[in-house]
Amino acid sequence: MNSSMNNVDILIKNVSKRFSTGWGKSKMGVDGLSLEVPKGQVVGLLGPNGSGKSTTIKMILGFLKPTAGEIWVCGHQVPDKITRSFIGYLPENPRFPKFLSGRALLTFYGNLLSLSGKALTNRIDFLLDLVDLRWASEEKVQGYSKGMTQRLAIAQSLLNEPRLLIFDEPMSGLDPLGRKDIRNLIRRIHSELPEATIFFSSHILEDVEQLCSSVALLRKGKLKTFCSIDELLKVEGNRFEVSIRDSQQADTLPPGNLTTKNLNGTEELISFLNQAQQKGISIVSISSHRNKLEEALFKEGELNLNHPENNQPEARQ
Amino acid sequence: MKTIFSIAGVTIKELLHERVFYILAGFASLALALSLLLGQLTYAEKSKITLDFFLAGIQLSNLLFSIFMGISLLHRELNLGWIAMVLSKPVSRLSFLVGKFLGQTTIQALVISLLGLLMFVLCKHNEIEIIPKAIFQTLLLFFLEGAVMTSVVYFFAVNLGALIAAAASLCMFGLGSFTEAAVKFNSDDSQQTFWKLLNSVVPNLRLFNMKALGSYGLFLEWNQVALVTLYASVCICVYFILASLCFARRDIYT
Repeated sequence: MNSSMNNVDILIKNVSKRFSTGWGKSKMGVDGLSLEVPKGQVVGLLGPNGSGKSTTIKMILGFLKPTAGEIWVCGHQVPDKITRSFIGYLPENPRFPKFLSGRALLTFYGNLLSLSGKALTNRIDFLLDLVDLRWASEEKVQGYSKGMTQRLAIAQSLLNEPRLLIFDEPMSGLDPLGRKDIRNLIRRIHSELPEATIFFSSHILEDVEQLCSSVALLRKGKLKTFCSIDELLKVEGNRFEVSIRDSQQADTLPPGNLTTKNLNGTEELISFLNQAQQKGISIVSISSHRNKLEEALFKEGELNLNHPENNQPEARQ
Repeated sequence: MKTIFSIAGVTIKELLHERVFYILAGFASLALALSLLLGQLTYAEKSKITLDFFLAGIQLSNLLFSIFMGISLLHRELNLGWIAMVLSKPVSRLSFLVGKFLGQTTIQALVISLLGLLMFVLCKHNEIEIIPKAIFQTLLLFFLEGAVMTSVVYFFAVNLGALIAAAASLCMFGLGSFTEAAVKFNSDDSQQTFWKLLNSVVPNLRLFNMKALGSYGLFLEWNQVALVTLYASVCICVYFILASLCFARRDIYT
């Protein structure tokens, strides 16, 4: 371990993963990936399906062996099992033995983390309250909904007060309310464990934007960019579409007849809103041009960020 | 060790919630009942033959438990993704396998004990004479045979798909039961070399099979039992080392 690793919780050095597809053929899952995730940040791993997000996470956890390169977690090289004592992991589709209750499962996972006795019971109670599952803790997991299972999985990932939280698509398959719940939960975890690094994958820009300080963008197994979320959002600029209804014309125009204004940047938006207030114009809706940015993220060659090496974000606490 | 015992504990609960477990237990009870009927059909040595059928039923049930429960346990972990939750904790893959093995063999010991008890009751009811020491030794060696077979099953299950692993394990049982006899009775030199080679690789399961002795009320010296136990332990260790080496190299996609 060298001194530069002191401020880094995940260090991925030129890692590749090639999968055999049978009959002597193979496919590159991750290709020469290098990434440093600084301590205490919420970092999003963004990319379309098949871009290598889950493969990267599974290599960090030691589930998959890299074909080349090396991975270090909290100063220890993977697959040393000590690396996993620093990690709290939430898989994409958490599945538990269905014959156990939520509490029994947390006790089991706690025992695997060498926790026991009163300390473990207290920790479990705290986490069940945190994820709002205390009321269902004695029920068998078999009867849990998708959202409850997800929250139980988050609780088990926090048992050891981890230094590094790895969430693989934490909002995957949830309804909008469930997604909002999980987003709020991640925010709360970050406020309760401010020293912890949260590294999570998603293909939904909105989730990443709301939670992350920086983002690593993967495409076809390669790191496209690693930058702060502000930098990423600047690419397209803050463009807004404002739907308005002039109150003076409200009686003459049929309902739903609206005028649309396109505005560039936050300043222009604020100035427009002030004018609208003075002139008595009703604002019906304001939406940002996020779709274009998502398209830019996922289409080859449309994202004009610098090379990843020039885009390592500074650690922000 | 705590990790291993935690995994073993959950494995025991898992097996007790397993439908296949109750199907196999039902099969074992049926085999005992059938043994009683078959024993009644014979002319001579009715009680010895009935006892032999009883023991054969327990041995077969134990073998089926080893193979099907072992494969089902590991493949469910891998296919349903439960293993991801366990291996994301500081748990080595070897500890995981050992925990599963301990859980499964505990259940197998329980099943053999219960079937032994059932056999004892049936024998008492039908006035079949049994020598407890001989029956105890026979059941103990069945348990050791089951434990060896479970380690063989784990070796195949971490490397192969469920069906092929089951077939390979059954082949291994066949080879383990008959290679010693093949070495002894084969007069052809080249064939005998082949069988000798096979006999050194495949665990010699004949050592664990003393149901003929048990049904006649004969038993081994305890030092012989200790030697067989040692042999079983070596076999289990060898297959476990092989299984864990293969499992450590395996990519887990769940």
